[in-house]
Amino acid sequence: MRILLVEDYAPLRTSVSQGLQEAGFAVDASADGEEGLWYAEGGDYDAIILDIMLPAVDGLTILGRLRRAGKTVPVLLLTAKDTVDDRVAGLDRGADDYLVKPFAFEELLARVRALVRRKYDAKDPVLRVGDLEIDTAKHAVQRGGRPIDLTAREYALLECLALRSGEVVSRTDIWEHVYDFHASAESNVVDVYIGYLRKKIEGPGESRLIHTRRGEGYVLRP
Amino acid sequence: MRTLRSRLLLGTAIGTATVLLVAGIALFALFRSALWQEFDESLATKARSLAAMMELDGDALDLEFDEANLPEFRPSATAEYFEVWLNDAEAYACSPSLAGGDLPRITGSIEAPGFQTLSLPDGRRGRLAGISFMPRREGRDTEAARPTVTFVLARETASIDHTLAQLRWILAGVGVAAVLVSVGVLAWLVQRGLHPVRRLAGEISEIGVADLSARLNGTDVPGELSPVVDRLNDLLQRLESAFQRERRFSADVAHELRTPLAGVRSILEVALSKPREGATYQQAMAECLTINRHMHQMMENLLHLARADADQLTLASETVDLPALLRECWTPLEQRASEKGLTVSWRLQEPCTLRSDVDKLRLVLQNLLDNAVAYANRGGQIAIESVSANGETTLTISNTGSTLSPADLNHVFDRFWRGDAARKATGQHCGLGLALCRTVTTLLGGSIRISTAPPDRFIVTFCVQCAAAEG
Repeated sequence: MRILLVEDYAPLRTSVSQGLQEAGFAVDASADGEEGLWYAEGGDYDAIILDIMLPAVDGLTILGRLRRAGKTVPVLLLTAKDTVDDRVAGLDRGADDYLVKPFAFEELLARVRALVRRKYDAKDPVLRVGDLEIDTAKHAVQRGGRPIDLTAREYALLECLALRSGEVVSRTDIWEHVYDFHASAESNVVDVYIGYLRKKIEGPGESRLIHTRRGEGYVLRP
Repeated sequence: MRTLRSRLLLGTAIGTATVLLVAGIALFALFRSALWQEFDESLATKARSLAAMMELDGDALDLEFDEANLPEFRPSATAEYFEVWLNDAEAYACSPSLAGGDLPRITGSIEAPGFQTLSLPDGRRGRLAGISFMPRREGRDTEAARPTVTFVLARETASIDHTLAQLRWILAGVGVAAVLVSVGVLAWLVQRGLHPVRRLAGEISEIGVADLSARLNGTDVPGELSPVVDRLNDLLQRLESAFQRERRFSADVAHELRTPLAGVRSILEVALSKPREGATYQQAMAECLTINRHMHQMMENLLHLARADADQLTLASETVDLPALLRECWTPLEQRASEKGLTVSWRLQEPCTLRSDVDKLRLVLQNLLDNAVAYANRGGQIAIESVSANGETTLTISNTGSTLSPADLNHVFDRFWRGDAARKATGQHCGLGLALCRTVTTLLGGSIRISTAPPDRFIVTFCVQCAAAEG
C-alpha cells in the first residue's frame, strides 16, 4: 500500500517514513507543501498523511485542491493544532481523519490501516478469500486453519491483491503499491514474488488462489 | 449606597425646600405687613372720623356719636372700644363696652396716629390707635383756648390673625407638596435618565472572555454617555486584539512544543518496535538529543521572554570584553559553520569594553550568531564587525542567503514569525530568537535593527553604549 507523507519537521518525517515502511507500506515523503501537492496530484496513493503548517503551501490548501480535483484518496491530517475549530476546519475541507501531535505511532498505523481498508470498502480488518484469511492488523495469514509465515514483501503483495480480490491487478499497480518493489533493481520482481507467494499459500492439494491473466496481471479469487 | 439617584434626589429635596421656605417667609412677611397696614389705616380712618365729630361745648366735650348710632361699642363678643381724655385729667368718657375698664393712653397726631398691639379688656387680641387733637368749638369762638383731647380706639385683630394663620398653613402645605412633587418628578426622570446606564451595564455583563468581538450599542445613548461607550468599545477592541495575540502565541507555543515532542516519540517508538543493531539505537538517541537541545533552547528563550514581559529580569552591571564574549559565543557554532562551508570574516575593533549584563548580552549574541549560521546559504558568508565611536559600540552581524522581502522585515521581530525558507526548520528555529534579542537589547539600553542591502544579505545592527571608563 502506497502512502504519501507530507511533513516539514525532518526528525518526524524520517521516523514516520521508516515506521510505515517497516509496517509494509510504500512511502513517499515530502518536506514542503508545493512538492507534496505535486506528488499527491500525480501519484496513486492509498492514503495521504498531511501536516497542516507547511512551507510554501499549507496542508489545508493541498487538501482543498485535491478534493476539488476529484481525488478521493483518504487523507489523515497530522498536526499540532488541537482546537475543535482546527479539527472541524480540517474535516470540513475533506479530511478523513485527524491526529494531533504528539501521537502514539501504533495509533497512526492503525488509523492508516483503517483509511486504506475504507478506500477498498473493506470494513473487516480480516480479509477473506475462499478459505484464506488475512489479518491486516496483525499481518497474520492462514489458510484453512494452517498458519502461513510470510516475509514483509510477500505479505504486502498478498494484501495488495486481497484488498482488490476478484479484480485484475496489473504488474505496474503491484509494483507501485508494494513498498519497495519500485526500489528493486530486478525488472521481474513482481513475477518472482508472485511465485514465492504461490508456493506458500497454495500448498499441496489446495486450490489455486492467484490466477495469472496473461498480458493484464494477476487476480486473487477462490 | 451613594448612588447618583439618591444624591440627585437629596439635592433636589434640600434645594426645593430651601427656595420654598425663603419664598414662603418673604411672601408671608409681605402679606402680613400689607394686612396690618390696611388694618391700621381703617382703624386710623375711623378714629379720625370719630374725632372729627367731637365738639367743645363750653368746657364740655360733646361726643356727637352715641351708642345708639354705633352698635359696635356696645358690649358684645366682637365689641370695639374707645376712651377719651381731656388734657391730663382722668378718662373723660369711654365706650359702654369698656364697662369701667381702661385702655392705654397712646397719643399721636391726626395724620400719624400712635398704634399699639394689646390684649383687649375681655382678653381678645387687639390693636389700638390713639390721636391727640384740639376739638372744634361750637359757634364762632374759635380763638378761645381749647383743651387737648386724647382719643384712643381699639379693635380686635382676630380676622388678621385668622387670615395669617390660614396663610401660614397654605404656604407650608404648598411647600411640602412642591417638595414632594419635585422629588417624585425627579425620581421618575432619574429612573428614565439612568435607563441607558442600566442597559449598558447589562450589555457589559454579557461580554465574556470567550467572545470579545461584541461591541456596546452606541445608538440611542444620551450624549453624556456616548464618550463612555466609545472609550469602552476602544478598550474592548484593544482587549480583543491582546487576547487574540495571546491566543495565537499560546497556539504557536503549543505547535512548537508538540512538533518536536511528536518527533522524539515517533523516533523512540519506531526504534523500539523491533530489535535492531546498536548503531541504529545510537542514531535514534543522537537525534532525540538534538531535538532535546532545541527544545531546551526554546524553553529558555520563552522563559526569558516571559520574564521580560513580566518585568522580572534584573540587570547586572559588569565589565564585558565584547570581542572575547563574541568568540566565546562563536565556539559552539564553529563546527556547524564549517559543515555548511561558510566563510566567516571578523573585523573587531579591539580593545572594546562594555559596561553591561554579561549573561543577557551573551543570550543576544548567541541568538544572533546562531541565526546567522542557520540562515546563511551553503557555502555563503558571515561577517562580524564591531566599531566604537562617540561612546557607542556598533556590532554588525550579517549573513548571505537571505530570502526575506522588504515586507518581511516588518515581521522579523514578531514572536514565532519565520521567513518561509526558515519554516523548513521547524523545531530548530522557532522564531523566538530575534523577538528575544530585541526585548533583551531594549532592556540593556541598546537598539537592534535589521536591514537587507544587498537583498540577499541579512544584516543585524546592534548598538550599545561603551563603558564610560574606556573613554
